[in-house]
Amino acid sequence: VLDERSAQSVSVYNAGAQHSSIFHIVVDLKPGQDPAKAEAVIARELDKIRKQPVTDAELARVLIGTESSFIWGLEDLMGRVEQLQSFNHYTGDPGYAQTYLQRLRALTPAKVQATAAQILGAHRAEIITRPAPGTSAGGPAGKPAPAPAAAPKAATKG
Amino acid sequence: MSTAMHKPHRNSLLALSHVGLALLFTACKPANTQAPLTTEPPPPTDTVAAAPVSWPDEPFRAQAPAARPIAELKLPSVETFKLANGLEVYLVQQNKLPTVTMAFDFDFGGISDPKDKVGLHAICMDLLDEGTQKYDTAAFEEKQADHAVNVSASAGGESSSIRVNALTTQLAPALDLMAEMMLTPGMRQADLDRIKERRKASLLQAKASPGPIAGRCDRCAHLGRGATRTAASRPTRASTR
Repeated sequence: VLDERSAQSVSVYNAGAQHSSIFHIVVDLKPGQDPAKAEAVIARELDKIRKQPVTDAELARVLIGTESSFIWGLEDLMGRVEQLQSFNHYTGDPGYAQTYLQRLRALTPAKVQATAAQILGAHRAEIITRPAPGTSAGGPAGKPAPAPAAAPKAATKG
Repeated sequence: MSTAMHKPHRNSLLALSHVGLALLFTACKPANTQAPLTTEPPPPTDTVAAAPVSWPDEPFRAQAPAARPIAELKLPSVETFKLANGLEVYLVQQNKLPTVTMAFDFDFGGISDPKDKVGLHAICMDLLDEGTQKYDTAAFEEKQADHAVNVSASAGGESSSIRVNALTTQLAPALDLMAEMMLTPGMRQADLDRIKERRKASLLQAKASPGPIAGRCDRCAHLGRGATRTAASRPTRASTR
């Protein structure tokens, strides 16, 4: 959608939690763009990552970026304190850093693909937010923006 | 000292990388060490009783820990030396983390702008880190992302700086990118036009903000009335070169 210039921004992230993490794909469309088309692009990319592994170069970029963010995050005292407690809370070992880095470096495209196939299934919640009618981005008052081709799906567990 | 920041990525390759990143976090999530939750629904009740509060009773919690003496402030030592090429180096070493920050400072800035080209140095430095002759803006960002390094250039009032942030393992490619940026900058017209438009928009916003208004008055008092004028539209590709 960025290539097709239909979106203002795209972000993908996993809000990790102990019992119920949430995997987010967020697309901010430009005014007048069809959400159904963006949905089709997202479905295509998800299908791709489920069926074929990411390249070694893609994985290497993400791994070094993750490791770099982790290490720079330890630079100030508060960052170190937060990280110690985070590891202590989730693993019971405040000194988990080396294990974390080892797990990180051991990731392979096949593991990423297997995880995608496991969690990025058909069951999901789709939340579509539109500008209110009458706002500059929402069209004339009383005329809501056109409905997307695909109705929002109810939240289901994946 | 600041961490690397990346501009918005624009292609599907990076979008795919983002998918991979998020998956990465999921795949790396440590195993749940607690007992699995029961799937049986709780028995129906009319009211939900508050769970009894159980305070930890370990002996060390009986009293608040006493504050220790304030740690002695140990300022790092600064080593100075010159390289064979004449570059003067100020080196501060802290080896707790495998990171490196390098700043190359130059003795020019806004104060060096020609009178009829206010803003020239700032725009020039902005343009410098937009890419190289080999890599356009997006490709240059991707090359930095490949190594999780940040190479940037900026101009201040009286000095300008080129900065490099990298893990020690990635310092060599970071320096290669910096050298390429300095020796063969892209200096593309499209990038210059975008920077000028962005700067014009920023100036318009600043005209309505108290802080920047005060800053302009301050510069007026110190540097003269001409210091408040801008010529963001005047620098050309040739003058920035």
